[in-house]
Amino acid sequence: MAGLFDALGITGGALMTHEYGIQVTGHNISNVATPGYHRQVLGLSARGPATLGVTDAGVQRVADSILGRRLAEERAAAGYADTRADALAVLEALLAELGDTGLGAALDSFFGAWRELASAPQDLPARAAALAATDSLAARVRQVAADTHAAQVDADHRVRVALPTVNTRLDAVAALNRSIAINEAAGSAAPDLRDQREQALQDLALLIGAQSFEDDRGQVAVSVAGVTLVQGDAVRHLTTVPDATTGFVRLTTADAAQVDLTRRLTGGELGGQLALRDRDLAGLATALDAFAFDLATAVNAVHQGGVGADGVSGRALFAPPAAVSGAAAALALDAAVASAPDHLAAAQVAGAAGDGRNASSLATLDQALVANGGQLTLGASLAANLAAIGALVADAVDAQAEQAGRLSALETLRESQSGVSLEEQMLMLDRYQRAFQAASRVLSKIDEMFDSLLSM
Amino acid sequence: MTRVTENMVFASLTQGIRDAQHKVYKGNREVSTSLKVERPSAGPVAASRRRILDAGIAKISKMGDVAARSEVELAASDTALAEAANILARAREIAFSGASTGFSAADRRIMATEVAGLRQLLLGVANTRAGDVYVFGGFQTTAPPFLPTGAFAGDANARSAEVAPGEQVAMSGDGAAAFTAAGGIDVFALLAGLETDLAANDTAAVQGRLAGLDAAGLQVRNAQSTVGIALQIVQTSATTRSHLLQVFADSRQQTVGADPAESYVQLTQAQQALQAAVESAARVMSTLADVLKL
Repeated sequence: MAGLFDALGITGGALMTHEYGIQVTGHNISNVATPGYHRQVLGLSARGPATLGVTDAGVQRVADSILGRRLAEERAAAGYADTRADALAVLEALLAELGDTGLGAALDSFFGAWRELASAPQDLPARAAALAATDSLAARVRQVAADTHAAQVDADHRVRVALPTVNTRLDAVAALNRSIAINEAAGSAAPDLRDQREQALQDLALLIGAQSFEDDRGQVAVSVAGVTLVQGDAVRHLTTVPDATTGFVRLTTADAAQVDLTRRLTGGELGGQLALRDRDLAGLATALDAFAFDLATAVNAVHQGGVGADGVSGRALFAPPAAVSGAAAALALDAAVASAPDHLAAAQVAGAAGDGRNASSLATLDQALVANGGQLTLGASLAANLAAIGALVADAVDAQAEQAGRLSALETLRESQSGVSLEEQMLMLDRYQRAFQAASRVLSKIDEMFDSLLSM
Repeated sequence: MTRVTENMVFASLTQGIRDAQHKVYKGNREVSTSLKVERPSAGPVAASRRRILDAGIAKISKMGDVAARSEVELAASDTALAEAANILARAREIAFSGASTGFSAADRRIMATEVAGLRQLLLGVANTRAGDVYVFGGFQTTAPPFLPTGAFAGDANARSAEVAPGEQVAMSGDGAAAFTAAGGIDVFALLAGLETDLAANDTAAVQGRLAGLDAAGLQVRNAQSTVGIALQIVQTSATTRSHLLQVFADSRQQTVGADPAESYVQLTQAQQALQAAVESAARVMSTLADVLKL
């Protein structure tokens, strides 16, 4: 009798184990599309040697921690590259520099209008056209400056908006550290909790370029730019503080130390936003300011040497810029000539309506080396800026594509190792089902044997 | 052997379709704009060069506008000077007749009246306008350069325009050189003197005016020659501009332009690739659905 009861125990164990296998398979199938999910495998082992049968050896999470860390690094670089490339591509489209509405076209129209005024200084429509072209050029420079500044403000805003998410993820990692420690200390594997923590770490890498290290107790420490933000279940939040110099925000730790991370971030979307705001866009703004300053200075020097149709000389055409910084945003017609076409100094001498020599001198400024410290013409300076913008965007887009390729390769590798294959799971399901059916069959045979014994 | 999962298949199909769609979009843009470099990032150096070429094209085109204006003023000057030469020729004919002994004092008074009329006619010619511009006033373009007395109220400045790169040309005739003592003979004073001499029946004095009239005629014809040369330069500059515009346009096409045939072939290939990617995705998803039916 003892033998049959043993067999009953063996079969019951088999039924439970394979039923559990079906549960694990169902869990895998359910999470086929869950981001960051690592497939789980039910470990099976023969009970032996004292007892026969099968037992589950626990659920294993198929994960490679080194690959996970590499993936986080690449995700940080991808977040950085994507942010820069996407924002710069938008700015490039907004600037429309190769179109009819670009700054270059406005500069061409400006010189063209003054060239025409030189040939017809007595002509009021020609004066009005020159004034309008000058105003349009100034407006276009201001618009580009505004677009560039708006992109900086947008990047600044995105940093502030993303920060609560970063802090939430830091909290999540700390909380999951705690939960995992409790579960695993109790001898229970926590694959789903580890998946959730891994996903939070990948999010942090993407957002802020966070790095993580798991200690031998399974606890993960998170650091950003060398500053530890999570240690066990302790969290150090990040915050933003206004920067009076730039008018934007600085990224610091929220504790009393207020460690400034603004210039230290080199990865993640926030790192990309900060690089965009403080390096890429700031560089474009500086180049535009230099162009506007050179333009206003050179044009004013010629214009002030001429005489308006009213006989008055010494007027500036553009409001004289106070400094290079901010020159683009402030570029405008000087109040002395605004709305007064007859104040345009087309002539060199007073009382000569047909004298267009000063307008001609102004038109030939297109050939003068007055930009970039006297090294370039204004047009060449714009063309150089255009090439610089193009190279900046092209480099960012190339980096984005390269990074996307690297990330995709690692994701494919991770997916190949840890992802769910439905075909594979269907086979597993079939296997567990058949094992369950066979065990049921054994159970029914044992039952028949019991019946035989009891009917004897 | 690489283990393939559902996410890998899905990601691969999505990426394949996305890449193909991007190529179709790019091909469409290239065909519709005929440009390979539509944005600076598509070719920073080419974009920079295109900017310089566009600036050159704009400048040459504007020179064309200026040349057209110059041509109008020069043509008006040319016509006026030709008419002035005719007036002076007629005045010389009258002077020649007036110097002859075959005419009476009454005849000479009639001749004096005709000379006065010619002088008025010449005054109108010297105050010729092209549009709102008095072409013989130098920089004084808004008021008649010659007063009813024949005094010159303009100046000797020459308005000039750049009609082709490096090619400056006077925009109109030189009134001072054509009609005033600055050119050698004060034409209006000469005609006034002739009128007086004829009215006074002074044949010797009339005879003395003939040399002056010859010189005045030459003076006007010289001024007309100068205008004619300028007019010719302006007209020739059209060829120069046209050539330069063609050079710029060719260079622009080489720098940023797309070969229409090549673009069209690439677009067709991209469309086929997209269609294949979509069909492949449909087939894979259908196979997957079959597996799940098992």
